Amino acid sequence: MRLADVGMIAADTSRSRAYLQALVRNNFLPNYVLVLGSTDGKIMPGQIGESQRDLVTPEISGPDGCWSEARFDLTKSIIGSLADVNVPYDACASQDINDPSVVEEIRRRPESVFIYSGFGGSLLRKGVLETGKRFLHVHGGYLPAFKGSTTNYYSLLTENALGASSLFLTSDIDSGPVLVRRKFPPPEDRRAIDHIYDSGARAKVLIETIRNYVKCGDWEFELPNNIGGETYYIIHPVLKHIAILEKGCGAQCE
Amino acid sequence: MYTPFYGEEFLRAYHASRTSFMGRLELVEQRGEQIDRMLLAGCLVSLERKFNAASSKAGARFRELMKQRSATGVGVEEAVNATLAGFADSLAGFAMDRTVTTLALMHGLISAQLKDVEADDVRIWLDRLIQRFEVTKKVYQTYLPGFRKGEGPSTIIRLYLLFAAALCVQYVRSHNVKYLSTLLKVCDLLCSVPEIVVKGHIPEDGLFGVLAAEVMSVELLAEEKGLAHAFS
Repeated sequence: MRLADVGMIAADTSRSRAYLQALVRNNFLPNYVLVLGSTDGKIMPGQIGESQRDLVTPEISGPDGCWSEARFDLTKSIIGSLADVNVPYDACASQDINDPSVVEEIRRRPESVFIYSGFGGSLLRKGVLETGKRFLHVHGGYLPAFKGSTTNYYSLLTENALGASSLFLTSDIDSGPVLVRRKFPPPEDRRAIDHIYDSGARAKVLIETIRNYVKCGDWEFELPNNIGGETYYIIHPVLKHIAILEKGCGAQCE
Repeated sequence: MYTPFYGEEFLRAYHASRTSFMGRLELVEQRGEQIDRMLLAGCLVSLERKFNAASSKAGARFRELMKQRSATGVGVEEAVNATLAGFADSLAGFAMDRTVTTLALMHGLISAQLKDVEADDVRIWLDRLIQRFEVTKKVYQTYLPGFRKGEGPSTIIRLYLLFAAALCVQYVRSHNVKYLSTLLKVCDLLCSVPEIVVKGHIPEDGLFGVLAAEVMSVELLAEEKGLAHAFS
């Protein structure tokens, strides 16, 4: 089904590939996609280089209910996925969501909600947030406890679980109202978290969010007041290595 | 681009690099400012107690690491207690709508933690410093009202050492890995500046102690996660 009021802004990252393939698989097609600029071979945050691909295509194991959306084709471009299902899209020259030309494109669109999946590390500034649209983002962490960056590595270290939470973006980082949040058990191959499992967890929560919207006809919030919690910054590589190397079972899907 | 994964070898390389740096420090007395020496000495006493409380093995390991440093030459407990009296309550004097002198803030943060003050102020101001450091990778001499824009030089090495000490004590008290993550980054900087910047400008035995506590904290976390063998 086509979601008449929902568009998408996507950079061609592992996460966007997971999102689009999950949306197609679950028959929730965005009405329109704005594709952020191509990178001319340069690897941008959230993209995977050729040399890394063999490290991140594990056999996905564990409860199917948890990782159903982690089984996606990492090599399939978002343009390829869009062409398969005839979703209209525009490719803009800029890679920057805050570029005035991108902001204007967004403002002119009729859709009121955009699934946001840009390049890693970009924050939506005032100009975008004041277009009158709402931006549906899935954060890689369980809110409100884990805000900020690389939070899934912090949550692995502190509670041996991953998380994902969908929210509408506001000017405060990861502090908008939360629609759906879920915890996931640690995957067997933690080296694949960055490109596969983090994307898969977020895609799973995205699908649940859209499913709720379709069922209710409106956006419903699991946590309207997303206050408190801890704000984290990019985890130091030593701690990231400890989180990846740790062995052990964690929580089940919640 | 995500941080690449190098396996256990990366943990061993970190350990070897820190140990090698610590071995090159000149552990002589009376370097750096007296107030910094006293506060750092107080931190090391506090850290040893916390490691000891965590496990007698951890306490012994920390003491073993610290054996390599020379005596500070001060009666640590008495000197620290006398020093703290003047600083520990000073956190209340800092405000977002005023310019903040970073050195005074660092002294206040360490003193309050050494006095075991469970004040919200400690976490609030430490978190603000972390936010600015994580965004800029610098610690400035002062911060203008609003605590966003730093002013003055960002190359005052004693500020980085005091920041590391404050983070270290906070991590060992709270076990919140956020503090350990930033501590590792600050220590990376301290270990990467040219020797000439370090020598004679800061208490090197204080830096030695902070690095020893950082290494201990990483070892303990790795042990807790079943990775003790990575450092053996």
